[in-house]
Amino acid sequence: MASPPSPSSSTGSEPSARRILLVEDNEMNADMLSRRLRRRGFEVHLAVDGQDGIEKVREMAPDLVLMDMSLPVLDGWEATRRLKSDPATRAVPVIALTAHAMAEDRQKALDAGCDEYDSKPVELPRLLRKINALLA
Amino acid sequence: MSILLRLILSSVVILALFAVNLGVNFWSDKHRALSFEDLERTRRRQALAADVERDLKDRRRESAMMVTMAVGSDSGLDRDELETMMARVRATEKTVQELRALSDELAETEDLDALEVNYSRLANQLESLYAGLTDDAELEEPGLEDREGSGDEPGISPPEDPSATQAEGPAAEPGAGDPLQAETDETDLDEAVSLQSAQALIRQALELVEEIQLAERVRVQDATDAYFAAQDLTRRNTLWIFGLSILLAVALSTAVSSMLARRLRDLEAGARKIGKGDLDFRIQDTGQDELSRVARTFNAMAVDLKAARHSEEMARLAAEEANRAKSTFLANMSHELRTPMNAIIGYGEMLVEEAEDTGQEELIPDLNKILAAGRHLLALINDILDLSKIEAGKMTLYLEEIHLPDLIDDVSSTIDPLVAKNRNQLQIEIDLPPDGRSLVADETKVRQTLFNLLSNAAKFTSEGSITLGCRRTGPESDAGFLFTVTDTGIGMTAEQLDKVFDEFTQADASTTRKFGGTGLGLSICKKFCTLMGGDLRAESQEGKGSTFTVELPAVVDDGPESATLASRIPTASRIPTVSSGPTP
Repeated sequence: MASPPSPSSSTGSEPSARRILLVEDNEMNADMLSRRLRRRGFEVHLAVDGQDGIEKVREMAPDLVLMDMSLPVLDGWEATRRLKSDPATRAVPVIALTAHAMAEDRQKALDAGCDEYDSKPVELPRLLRKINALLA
Repeated sequence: MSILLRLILSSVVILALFAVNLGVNFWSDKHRALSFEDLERTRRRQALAADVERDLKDRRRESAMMVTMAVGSDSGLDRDELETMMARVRATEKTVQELRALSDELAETEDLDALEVNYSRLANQLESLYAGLTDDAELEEPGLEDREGSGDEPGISPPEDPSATQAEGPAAEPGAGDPLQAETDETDLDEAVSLQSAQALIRQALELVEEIQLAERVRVQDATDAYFAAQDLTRRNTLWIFGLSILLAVALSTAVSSMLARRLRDLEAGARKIGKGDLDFRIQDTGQDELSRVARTFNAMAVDLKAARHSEEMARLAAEEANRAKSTFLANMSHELRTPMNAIIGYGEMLVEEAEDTGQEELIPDLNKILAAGRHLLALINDILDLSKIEAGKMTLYLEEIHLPDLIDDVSSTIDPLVAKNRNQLQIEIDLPPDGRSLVADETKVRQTLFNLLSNAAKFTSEGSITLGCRRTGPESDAGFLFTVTDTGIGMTAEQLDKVFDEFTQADASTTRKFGGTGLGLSICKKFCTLMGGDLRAESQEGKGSTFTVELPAVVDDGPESATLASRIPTASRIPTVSSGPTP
């Protein structure tokens, strides 16, 4: 695989690194995606449910949020709606991730205020394209 | 009573009526014949009486003439003349006897009896008279004896004699009172006396005959009346009986046929009702005959049909329920299967990346095999999920305006690596008017369809060309869109072409090994196209290549599509059948 076009460090702790908040309740998926993103130089933070996600966004103000849609406590759509209705967090781009590979889910996600949509399983090059487009 | 019995009875009654008619006819004939015979007999008697009267008058004239002639001249009758005259007398006697014989059945025969007696006496009298007139004296003796013999008998008639004598006075006097004749011998005198008594007998006989004739005339009148009465009666009876028979026969057949017609009508109405599906309807017929049996059979059939329909309905509901359960199960399972699949593929990809980073290149081919198998499995799961959703009626369309040149660019760049893999050339032929390049449809489904067709073309073609065409179906602004994917690949046989859109079918097992794929792609694409109000068609020639044509309306209709999704998919293809048969 080609090396990522964005920041080159793989430690994820450098101040220049882009900070991504991954909201995902499935431990394995979270582990997998966070490790792959870190390898491409992103600083990745994790949240385990919608409520946790909103709090983390307010706390750390990430450059981008990767939001799983089916989450416990507060689902991805509702969490996104809240983020987008709060002026403090509205500017943070949100990419919806869902296992439902259907157009209806995409539409639902976009309706909730997501900026982009990608289906699981994650196709990393495609996701990276979308991330970079939003961060550009 | 059974219908057969009724029909037989009716026939018997009609036959009996026929027999009665026949009997009446015979009776009438007989009756008429009898009264006709009666009439004939009466007429005959009348004729005979007339004969007798004429004969008597002849005898009177004759006897008078004979006596006159005999007295006037010495020459008497010769034997021949005597015999001739006696023969006439006997003939008349026969006529009288015949007349008497004909009257046997009559109640009053006194006149006839008297006539018979009278005439036999007359015959004797005449015989002796004529015998006296003959030349041969020998003959006189027996004649006189006869006359004397019979002379005792007229004792009955003396009372009539005086009047008869008076009546015949003028005729008798010339012979008796002639002065010239008075001088003749004794014989002459005897003859005059004999003539007189003969004449008296004749007169008496004539009176009797007259009375007989009078009675006969009455009888003829009566017999004629009786004959006409009989004719009238028989005619009337025949007509009455015939009319009655016709009435009875008509009434009987009307009763039988109207009974049959009414019940057949009931049967027909009932059968029609049951046939139309009113299985609770029962034909009301409580009889015991054949039609009642038919009615009961119909009723039993309705019961059976209802039971059968009920179990059929149950089976259908169960099948529908099972199908729904299957679709739901598949949808859920597919979803549940994706999570572990995602982990397998995700960690596999990570391992490849790590192997590259750490220089463990020898692990990469194996890891790629795991990844390929995982991706194939995931594609299969995704297809099953799509199909299940379509079949469960849960597939919804998300319509948006699609700018076709962009979409085609996008799709072709995605497919490029796959086209290049078999050293194929991809040609894009867009023939769209500048102001008609957009389509309102579900972009994901259009994209998935085109990608699927192109990847099939790329898979089954090597060192050939693949053409993606796009044009309108006509010049109008609402003309539909045609997408064609043509390849110069291996193509399909007619048999394979037939099943190309069936689920889980690929040309054969080796096709799957060689070319991969789930066998669901084309089936899903076809359903997507149908869903959007369009169609997907295939043409192919084995060894020459295939052409797939997608036709879509310019603006896909939203409402009904999602609502009647399930109904748009032909029922036969709704239950996926796993088939090992051929077709890519």
